[in-house]
Amino acid sequence: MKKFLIAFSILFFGVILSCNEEDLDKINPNGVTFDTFFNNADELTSGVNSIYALVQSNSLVSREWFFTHDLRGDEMASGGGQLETPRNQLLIGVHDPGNSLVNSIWRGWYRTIHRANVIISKAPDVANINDDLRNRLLGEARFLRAWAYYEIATFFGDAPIYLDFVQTVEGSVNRSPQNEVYAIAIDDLKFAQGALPADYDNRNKGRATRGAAQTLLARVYLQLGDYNNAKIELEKVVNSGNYSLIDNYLDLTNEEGEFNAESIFEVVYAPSGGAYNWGGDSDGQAVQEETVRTQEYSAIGWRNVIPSNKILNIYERVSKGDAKDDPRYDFTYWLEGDLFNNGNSVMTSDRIQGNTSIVDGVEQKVSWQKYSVLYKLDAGFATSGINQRIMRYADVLLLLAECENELGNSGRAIQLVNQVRARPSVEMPPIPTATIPAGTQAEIRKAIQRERMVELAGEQTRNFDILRWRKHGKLDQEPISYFIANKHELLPIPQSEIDNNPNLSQADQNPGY
Amino acid sequence: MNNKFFLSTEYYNRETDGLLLRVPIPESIGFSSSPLANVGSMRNYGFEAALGYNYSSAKFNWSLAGTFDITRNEVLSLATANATIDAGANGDFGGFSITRTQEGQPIQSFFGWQVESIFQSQAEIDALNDKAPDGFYQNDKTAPGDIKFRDLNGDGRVNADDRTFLGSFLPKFSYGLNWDGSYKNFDFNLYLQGVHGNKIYNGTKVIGQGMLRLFNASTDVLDAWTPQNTDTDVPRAISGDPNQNSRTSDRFLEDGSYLRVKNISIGYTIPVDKIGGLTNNVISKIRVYVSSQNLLTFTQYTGYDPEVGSRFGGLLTQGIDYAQFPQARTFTAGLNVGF
Repeated sequence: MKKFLIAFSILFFGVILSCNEEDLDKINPNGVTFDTFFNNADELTSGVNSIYALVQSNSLVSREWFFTHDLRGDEMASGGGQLETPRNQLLIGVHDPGNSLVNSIWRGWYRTIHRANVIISKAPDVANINDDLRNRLLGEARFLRAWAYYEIATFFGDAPIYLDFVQTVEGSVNRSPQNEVYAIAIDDLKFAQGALPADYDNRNKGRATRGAAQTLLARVYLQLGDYNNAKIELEKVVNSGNYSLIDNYLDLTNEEGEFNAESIFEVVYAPSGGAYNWGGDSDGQAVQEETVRTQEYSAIGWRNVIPSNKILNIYERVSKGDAKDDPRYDFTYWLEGDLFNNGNSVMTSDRIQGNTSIVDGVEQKVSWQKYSVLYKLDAGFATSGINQRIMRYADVLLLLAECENELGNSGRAIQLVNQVRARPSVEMPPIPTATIPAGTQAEIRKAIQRERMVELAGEQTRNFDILRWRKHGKLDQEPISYFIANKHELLPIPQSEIDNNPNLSQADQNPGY
Repeated sequence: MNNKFFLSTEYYNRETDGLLLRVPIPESIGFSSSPLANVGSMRNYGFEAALGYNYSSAKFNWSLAGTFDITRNEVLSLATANATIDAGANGDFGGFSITRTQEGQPIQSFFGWQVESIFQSQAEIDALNDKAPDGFYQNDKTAPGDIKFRDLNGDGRVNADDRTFLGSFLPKFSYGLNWDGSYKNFDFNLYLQGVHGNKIYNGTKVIGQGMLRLFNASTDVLDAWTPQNTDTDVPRAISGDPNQNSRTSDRFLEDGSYLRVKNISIGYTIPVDKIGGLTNNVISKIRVYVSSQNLLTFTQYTGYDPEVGSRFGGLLTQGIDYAQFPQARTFTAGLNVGF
């Protein structure tokens, strides 16, 4: 899969200019157009690969996507003045409609939608392809479109919906209500889980699976507060028997642990050792086969963001009256004095630039270890090919626990949380504990929220978790310090969209911007 | 007058149809790049004059030529969806687009917010927030020392609707003066060139004064607003620029007028009759000279170079100084030998 994720994006970048004289409509025999491509299975597969290429791009998962999720939550603090202003503005809640990350997310997901729409429109007419493959490719395209609409609706609220690919520059539309955008995602994912296989051979790992479609569908339902339907989807994943918790927590976010038994969906990068492509936006110019995540958060590199004091102090600790120190703390963060580079280097304080944290009353430099490639090398600058895990089984179990708790099945909810806590390398005692009560629905809810923050720290789930808990009244207290109601629920629509989309004006901007 | 004077004048008025420009696209349609299309028409009109004088005598010959050029530009029509084309947005330079092309305006005019003043007290901000429909004139993090932008449409809040046209990169007029000649065995050339009345969007100042990054700040920031240093036009130093003091605005727009000594040179030729014999007529000519390009520049512009080159290669971004590498001032000493 990695090797042949080649972007055929040149195709999508050719745009047909309006011209009425049919005589002028000559087809360039050397070029690729929508009308001349998609003749067989290979060409349709290439078209689907180009959608994945966009998801890998700079605008999305290799850079701005993880930043936007992470900065919008409460797990991050500034690593220091080196954090660039547009990122800092998201972190402190003063982003404007010109924010470059907001632009990237919008652009990246809508390009994903456009490419998926091309496949969805063209796939039915492709000859020379067996129907199973056609159906699978359609399923992949609709899975990716659903993911894009789910992210767009959750980040931006009401949003333009395109179900056919746009063929002229005049083809833009107005915003549709958020629920209609979610409805598109639900429809796509229902189709996708019928069309997608449970797994792939090694060459094709990274393509969307049935389990990924079910997990994503559960996430959509949860944003809508629909615990019944979410539970149905999550049960399918659990009952499939295809997934299990792996023993070693570190393998969840390192390179050697890619596609393990816990993994449900990953965005794939080439093996580490290549180069991050700063212009790799899969726009017909260049693709992206590495991620810069490790460098952006790197303990001895840029260290643009560090873990917030809040998340660092949420872990169970003997000093706080817990039975055991939670080992996930050591797995998730680099601490001063840690060994790295396969045990050959020591992370001394003088190698770590930027701000300090206060953990358990002690001032110290703590940095993100998840997705850091420093475990096997020592370099002040390093990008990596570590796949970004988008969905994993522990997340499914905790989401299911949440559904059970909201539906009144507290026993099963507690049992599911404890299943995650019992992972061999973690082995935390079952709840309730001395500091984590689980006697009432509200207490269990809080325990689940806490467990998600610990188990999934730095894995781009916290931001959307907070959004749905806030929306459905499930939060004890507001977790975002800068939060202003009627503003910070949503990101602003990018100014360039408002300026260039004739259906939109400043009056259509989200409130507060 | 023995051909001593010459004068030419020209008036022109040229309409260009089918301007080939990149059609702006709403990102939501998902195209990876925007197509080029014949979307507009514009009119260039103006006046050009050239005046010269030649002087000739036995030892002293020179000629002086001056040019003067007035050009005006106006976009006559623009067939894009919103009848505008915005350009110049860059995450390191405030994030918003910097120019807008629109009917009735010169092509790619600067477009953004206008600075009114610097907030000196919280009371001043509170008074505006009280009247704002959303509760905030600018935003909730606006504090004393931040820039107060103009609420042009008077709705009580500053947002994208308060942007306006701020000026053009096109000069009101440009001029040049060339003087060259010879005196005995000396020869010389002096070329002056200048423009007047154009605007430059000084991105160098966004970098140097905007405090957007940890590095590259200029000494301007030493004059940043503080409760003790209130008589300044540099806003407060604050991480993350929460008030977006560095958004596209006339804060960074400067007069780009300049007069420049583009070229000056002086040479001396050793007479042939003196050297021919000494070298057996192998060398027929020796000239020594010194010259300098861009020796002097007279300008109010505070960036590196008022003759702004292009960076990032985009259309419709002329006159935006994204901290381009400036032109060099060169000194040359040379020897011409003829055989």
